[in-house]
Amino acid sequence: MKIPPGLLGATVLLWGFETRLLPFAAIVALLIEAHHFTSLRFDLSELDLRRLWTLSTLLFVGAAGYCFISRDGPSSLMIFLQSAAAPSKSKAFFQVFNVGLILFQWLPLIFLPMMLGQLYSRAGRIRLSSFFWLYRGRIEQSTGNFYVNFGFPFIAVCFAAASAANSRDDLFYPCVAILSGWLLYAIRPRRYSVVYWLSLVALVGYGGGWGHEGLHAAHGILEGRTAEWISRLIQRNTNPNESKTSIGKIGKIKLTSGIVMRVHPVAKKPVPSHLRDSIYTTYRGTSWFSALGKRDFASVIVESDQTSWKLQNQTNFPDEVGISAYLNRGEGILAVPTTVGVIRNLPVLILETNSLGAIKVREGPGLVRYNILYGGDNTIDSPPSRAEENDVPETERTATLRIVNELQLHGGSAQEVQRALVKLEKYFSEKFTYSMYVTASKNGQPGSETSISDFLNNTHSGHCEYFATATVLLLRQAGIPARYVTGYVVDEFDQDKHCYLVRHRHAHAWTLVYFNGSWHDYDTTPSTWINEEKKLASRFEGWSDWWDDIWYSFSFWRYLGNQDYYRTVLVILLFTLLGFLAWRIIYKGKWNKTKTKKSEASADLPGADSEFYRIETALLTRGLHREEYESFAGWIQRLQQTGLVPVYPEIPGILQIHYAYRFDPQGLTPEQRLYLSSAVSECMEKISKLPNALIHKN
Amino acid sequence: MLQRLFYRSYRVTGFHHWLWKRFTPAGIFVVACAGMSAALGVDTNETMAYQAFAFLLGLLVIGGLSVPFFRMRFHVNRILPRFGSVGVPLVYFLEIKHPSRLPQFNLLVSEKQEDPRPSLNEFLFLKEPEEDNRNFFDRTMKYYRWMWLVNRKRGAIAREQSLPALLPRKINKVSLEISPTRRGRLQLKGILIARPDPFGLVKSFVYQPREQSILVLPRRYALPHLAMPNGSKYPHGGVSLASSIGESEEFAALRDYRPGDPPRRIHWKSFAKTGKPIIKEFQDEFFVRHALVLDTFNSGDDANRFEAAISVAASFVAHISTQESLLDLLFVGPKAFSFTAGRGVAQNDRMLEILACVELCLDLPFVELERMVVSHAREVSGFVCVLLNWDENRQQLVRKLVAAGVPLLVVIMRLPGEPVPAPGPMAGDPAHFHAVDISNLEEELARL
Repeated sequence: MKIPPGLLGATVLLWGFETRLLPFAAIVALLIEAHHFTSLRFDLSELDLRRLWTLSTLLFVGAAGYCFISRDGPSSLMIFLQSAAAPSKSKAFFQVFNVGLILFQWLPLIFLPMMLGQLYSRAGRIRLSSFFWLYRGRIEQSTGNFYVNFGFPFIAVCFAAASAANSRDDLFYPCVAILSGWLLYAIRPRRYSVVYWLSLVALVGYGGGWGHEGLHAAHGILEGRTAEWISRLIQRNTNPNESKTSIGKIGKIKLTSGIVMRVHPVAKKPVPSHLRDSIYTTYRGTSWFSALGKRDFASVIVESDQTSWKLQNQTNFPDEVGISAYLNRGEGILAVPTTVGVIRNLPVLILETNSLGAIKVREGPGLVRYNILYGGDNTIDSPPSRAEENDVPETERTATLRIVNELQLHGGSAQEVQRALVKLEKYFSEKFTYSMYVTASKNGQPGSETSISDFLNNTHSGHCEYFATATVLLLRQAGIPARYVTGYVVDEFDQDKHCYLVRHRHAHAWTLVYFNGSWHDYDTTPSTWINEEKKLASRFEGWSDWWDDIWYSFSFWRYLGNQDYYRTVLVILLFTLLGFLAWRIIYKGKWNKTKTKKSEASADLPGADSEFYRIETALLTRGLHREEYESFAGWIQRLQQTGLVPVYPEIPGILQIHYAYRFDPQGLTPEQRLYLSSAVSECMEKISKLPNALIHKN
Repeated sequence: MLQRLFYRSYRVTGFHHWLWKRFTPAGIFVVACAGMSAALGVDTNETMAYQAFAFLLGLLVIGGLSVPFFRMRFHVNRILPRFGSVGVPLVYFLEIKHPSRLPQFNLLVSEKQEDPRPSLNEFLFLKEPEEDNRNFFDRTMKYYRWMWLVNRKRGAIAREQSLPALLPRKINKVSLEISPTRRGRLQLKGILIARPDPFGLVKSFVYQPREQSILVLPRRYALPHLAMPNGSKYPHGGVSLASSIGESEEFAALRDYRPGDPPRRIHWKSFAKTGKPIIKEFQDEFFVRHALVLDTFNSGDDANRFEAAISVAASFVAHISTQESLLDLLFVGPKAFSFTAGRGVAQNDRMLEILACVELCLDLPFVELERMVVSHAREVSGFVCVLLNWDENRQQLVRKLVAAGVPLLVVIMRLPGEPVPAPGPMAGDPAHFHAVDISNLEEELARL
């Protein structure tokens, strides 16, 4: 199948028009179509075409790498791979997808060398094996040589590139239809009349126009429905940092052991045991709600150094700790100790807090390493509301009331509260055990106990969410204000890195209790839980940590090192690598050639040591040129026939013996070998006696 | 479990066959472009590829709608030659007639091929000959095993060909070409005549069942001029076996009558001319009788070695001129077989036919072949032994033949990389002992 003249150029022009690269496209189209008007053709071998394809592939890899780096691809990809939240994953996926779309727009230029290679080669077609390394060798031998016309995929690439530009003009569809029709007309079966064929193309064109509008409309409807569905899904299940969490959420997070953050001790001061990120107030069903939404966050004014954020009016804090954590596209909830007062070295544009003490940041880098000043009795949390003092769901009241009465828990003065806390902690430690993640399976079944009631009355075993929820409800039942907190426990110190590693499996839930005019952390989960969870650690945790370290180092260098420098370095590295690959391929080819020549020359050919070559050299040095196509016999015969030079009559005889020595499988007898040597010596003596000038003169 | 998963994955290649059957190359290109544009245009707000997708889908839909409307009746007759050969394109003729009043253009024709995909049991239990030499990945994935089984089952590669304009109500004779890939009987099911849609993308078919079979001879290679192993032995049976029954010695000369000559040898015409009895003198003819011993006892599970041996044997059969000699083919199949060709008994092609159908002997011991060959040793002037291996059994056979003083040419099949074995009992005549690399048979046989 041949592509009709002009079609390739027209397709390239469409690409240029859609991508606003019309001048480039015009040059490319001219180069492509010029092959119809010139007889210039190159004798490109299979190897040359393979190299052109390699060049195109390298250009593709280079362009992809450049796009990826310059368009924030690495962080998007890492977010896509690491984020647990569906919206973040989706956003990151589309960011990577957009990088791909930009790359698509460059494709015609990337594959241009191959296209020109085919058009200006004598063969005018390319073997399939030039494109696919795997196809070479055995598969090609068994299936035969397949040739492809690269023009067809090139047209498809141009259409794809033009569509990726997303110009939204009305010309794209008619142009695609006309150009495709042009191509189809050239290959149409001749059994159908042109009128019939044109009618059908017009029908397809009209139907396609109607169809693509319908597709767009359908996509709009589907997108709306999907967004609605996703938002429901998010509300129901996912984001612990916002306003809701369900029992089981923390348990699921615990199932992996990736490193979430690193906690760096400052001046050998102790680090906080708990770092919280979300606080919840209301329990319904199996879910905790914070009663506050996104809009309840208020901005904090940054200090003059632009990286310090003062959250409490107090200035002196006894303790300080450093924390390194990733921000999801520059956004996130900070994990902090309950008594956080000041945050330093936090290079974000916006920091917000809500009345429950959650701290949200936006417009920051992908990785932050901030210092927190904390300690004392004050917190940034609002005082308890009335609801938080006695808000216990009706379904849990029976169980909680029984235990409160049994333990005689009641609020009041700080001493009474502390006594109640001691009793409760003792109660949990003596009568309850920690177990791995279990789902709240019984919830919602009519007539069955709720998960928490079941935990308190029957099972006496659960993971941290059960303990924390039960504690909050019991305290509230006793009239002591309490809140439900999620966050992480800081426990695993890494001697090599001199910091604490906080993993997903350290995710935890505990309780905030209000007494003495402030909130205090209160954790009733048996302390064995960390060891229990550690038993679940994967055997490959070391490898995972190794990769986390590499990524952390890279992120640290990227976000906290010289930020303007990294792109240049990466691009230089990329192009160095590509250059090396290109050089390697070219050099390898040459090296192979050289090697072949050397090996051919050094091969132990029979008769390679024949003395006849001395005669040849002597005659050549005397200007008796031998044509490339001439055999020795033909050369000697020509010299004899011209009569211009004295060619000795014994040379043909010597040549015969030389041929026998060189090509006869039987070889020479020792006598013949001796004769060859002596005859050549005699002849050489005669030749050497002749003055060079005489021969040249002749 | 994993192997079943691979099998299911490879079975998807059936879609590939369906695609190539149902669409023209241009159609496949359009399908691929439609798929690409669908993927690229999945978000209709981000790209405009969905517009191209709509157009391409329209082309395919209109093309697909034309499929049910091709119901022309063709009368097809296939004219096959007697044989085909592995690796040699087999060209034969079709006689096509159609009832339409108009000539038919742009039709395509092909042989209908059975689904070549192997069954699960075949995939699980049949081992590819070179599988043990493959790397761990290939051995695990078993893709080469799949390819081997597909080729083994397919029998021949039949590509679609364009038909010239078919004139109305006439017998149109067209040639068709297939490439046999394995020896034996090749079953041809029927003829598919295809019509592309107006865009030349989707094909509609008419199927004409025409079941026929053709014998595919083994692949043969050129042999150099061989000095066949000969002994100056008068072969028992002589010419009587070759051309006629009874005493049928060759006429040598005329001579005068001597007392005691049988009267029926008198040459009456000369007697009439000269007036004295002239006797026709006859001379017993000495001719060569070779035996080709084919080893059908596979020592391992290497089918390639056996196929190579068949090819080597076929090359010898084609090479040895049976105009001037006799050739016996000795092998063991379900039982011991001895087949003689030459001197009017049978032609070489009959022997090639036999070789096309020889299978491995799985239920008889090697001693059966040895017994037959040794008993044959008295009747032939030389043996050509094509052996699959050079183990003790085979060496024992050769040892007995050497001891019997029969000239021998021994050819051993050797896998690539396998060392050349020591001649053993052939040490006294190493020039007639060859271990040929089966991956390079053509070159190796040329060196014999």
